[in-house]
Amino acid sequence: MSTGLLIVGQDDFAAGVVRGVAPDVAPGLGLANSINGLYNDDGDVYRRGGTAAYAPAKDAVNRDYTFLWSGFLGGKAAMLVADSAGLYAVDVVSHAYTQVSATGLANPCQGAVIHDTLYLPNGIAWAGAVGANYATGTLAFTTGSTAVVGTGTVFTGNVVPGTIITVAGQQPFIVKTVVDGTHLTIDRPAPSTVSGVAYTASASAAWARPTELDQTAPIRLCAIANRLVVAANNRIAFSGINAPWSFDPTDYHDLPGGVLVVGLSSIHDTLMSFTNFGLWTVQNMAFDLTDAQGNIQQTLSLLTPEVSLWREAGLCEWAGRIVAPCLDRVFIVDAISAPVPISISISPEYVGYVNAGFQPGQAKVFRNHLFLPVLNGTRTDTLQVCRLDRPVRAGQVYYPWSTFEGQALKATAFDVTLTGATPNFIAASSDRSLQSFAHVFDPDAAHAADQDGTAFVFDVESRDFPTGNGQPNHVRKLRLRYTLNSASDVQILAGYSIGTSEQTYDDLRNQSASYDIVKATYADYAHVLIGPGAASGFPPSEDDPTRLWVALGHVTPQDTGLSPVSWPFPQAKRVRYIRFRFRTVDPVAKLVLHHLDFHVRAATHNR
Amino acid sequence: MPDGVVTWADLTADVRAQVDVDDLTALGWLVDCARIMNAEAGWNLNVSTYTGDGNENAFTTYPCVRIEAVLVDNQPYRRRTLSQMDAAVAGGSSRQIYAELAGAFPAVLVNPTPRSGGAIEVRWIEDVAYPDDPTTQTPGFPSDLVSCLADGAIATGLARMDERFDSAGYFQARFTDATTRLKHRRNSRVGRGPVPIRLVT
Repeated sequence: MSTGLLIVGQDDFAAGVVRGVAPDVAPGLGLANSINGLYNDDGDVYRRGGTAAYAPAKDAVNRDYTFLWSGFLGGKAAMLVADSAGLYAVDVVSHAYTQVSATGLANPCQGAVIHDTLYLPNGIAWAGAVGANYATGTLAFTTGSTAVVGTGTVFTGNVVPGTIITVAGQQPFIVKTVVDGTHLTIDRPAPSTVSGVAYTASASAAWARPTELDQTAPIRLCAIANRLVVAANNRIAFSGINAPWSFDPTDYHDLPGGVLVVGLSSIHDTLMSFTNFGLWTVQNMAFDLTDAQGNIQQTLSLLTPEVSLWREAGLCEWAGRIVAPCLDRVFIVDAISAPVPISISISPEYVGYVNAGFQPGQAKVFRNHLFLPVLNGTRTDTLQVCRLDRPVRAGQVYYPWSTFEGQALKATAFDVTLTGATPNFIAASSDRSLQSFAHVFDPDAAHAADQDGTAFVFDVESRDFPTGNGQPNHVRKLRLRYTLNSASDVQILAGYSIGTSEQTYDDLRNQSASYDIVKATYADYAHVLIGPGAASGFPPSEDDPTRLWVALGHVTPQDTGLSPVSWPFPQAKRVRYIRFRFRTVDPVAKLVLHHLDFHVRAATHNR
Repeated sequence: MPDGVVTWADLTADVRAQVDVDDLTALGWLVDCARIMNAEAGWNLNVSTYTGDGNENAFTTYPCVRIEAVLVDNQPYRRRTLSQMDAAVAGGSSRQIYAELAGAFPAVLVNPTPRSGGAIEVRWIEDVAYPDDPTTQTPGFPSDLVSCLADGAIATGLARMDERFDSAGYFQARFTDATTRLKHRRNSRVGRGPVPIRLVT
């Protein structure tokens, strides 16, 4: 009895999640929602792989990590996490945590690495060492020499390369080598000859911000052309080349226009200064401010006036450009071109986060995917993921977005670590552990679940399909083509939704439901209103919580995808637009959704 | 309900699988189709017997589609119009005739007035009643044809809601075919002569 049924389908989801577009003009490549989905080169959406444990939880304290950094300091692999109460070095081999400072980072931020030292905006510098403070004896410095002689000291075992030596009136020195118990070398020549100097050798130390800056305003950091750049309010000061400890009192730029610097980044020797209104660049940062004749060499210019950075922690680099989460959109910017917006498709949701007072966590790009955690306070509210290298043009240029849930939602700060044989993408989690995201792009049986063994949901919500000619037409059947690889049976729940209305009592009556059935099916009146979907496995839609979902039931695919699975409609729906949803909560090694279609009996009238 | 028994609710579900209507509308269409099928095939044959009192010449038949036959003391009466009946009664005719009295209380008028103690037998096609409880009541047609009621209702829906007369035609043909087959089956039970012979039940 399928005579005359039309088939309406979609086999390319490359635009990803597209929100806030009227259904009659929505791009035909989009989805309404994608939880734990990623987009492959064919434009299919697939279930991400699980996260893996990288380092165990530090402790059970309920305090979120705000910062993560991984790299090499002085030729040694180093990793640092921070919360609001301290900085902790992570041993890249044993994954043990060691506190290196009691001054924490209350909010996500950006550090700057220069001269084998990580500078942080809380005024702490760290050069990769761990260990207790050591202050026995005195030191003797010689002008122009990096050799330091101790008196009454036992450097061996107490001081290691990377230890920071603090003496009164000087910016900290970094220990390069420990020769013996009384001799060591430091990172730069001593400025004067002194002896009998009291000192403190510690894993981390405070560094002084340039005197020409406001001493209380929050500061932003960036390393460019071997300079340490520090900004407070509207003033950007920069150090000498390869001398992060030395700031000339006149080496700074003041931004005009009544703006505040929100974040700094760099491309080549161009400093990108994101403010609360406008993107400014300072070019030729490899040169001095003026040459010997007094000619200006660095140029300050306003690149784009309308770009307002959200918070500095969201800044990250990709393909020689900067990905910048701004107040209205996420842009890709470089030092020349107009900013390219990449978040058009999730604009309503994104602006909602900004308006709600949320802040971006430490974002990062790995394998061409932007991972942008959005924090409510310091706890991740949503983890937005965007594939940057496969935008599609469908009316506008859409970059495919999706959201991650499960253990991945605990991630507050991301960084790439290169300490292993292959690049690893790790995240600081709100459970005080570090988890690896390296396998999310390559789902397999070993990573069917997240790091704690819990399966995560895979939930894909299609766009609103017009059923044809702007008319209400009868929808009869839903079909899905897929690729599946799983050791155990996987249940896929499908459902449909036709609008935003909640369920009414008339709807209940039309389901032939007796009062007893209604009582048995729904927990309370709220569930009655939201509809049968809530009772049968569909949580409310992300973008439309009152949307009524009708479940079509679970189907267990019987093969790896040779034949499509289909859901007949027990009751035909006569609608202009219809939206579908697929959801599985089973751990599955691989699940790719290639194509969905539905059968329509088209009406012939024109109303 | 035992397996294989098709209730009104089952048919309603069949209709809603094809046409997006609520239960009440679907049931209404189904009852319409059942009445058509019943009237065309003359399926729901009912026999009422009365005993004459010498005065009464009208006997109530409700809910009635039509009268098949009237026998008084086993004598078959002929069918006449109400006008002819009026003329016969006014003229004191002794022709054995009956007429259907339509209206709020359908009845059959008989002339001459049956004698006291006379056996009056009225064979009539009973209408399909609107079900009080669709989940337990059945339309009362043979099980191989009853599902075609849904086809008739679907045809109604497709034609009215989608104006898909092409698709509706397919379902309408199934319904019409079922009605014809039911008619043949009924004829095979009661014969084709002018006077239906009641089967022993």
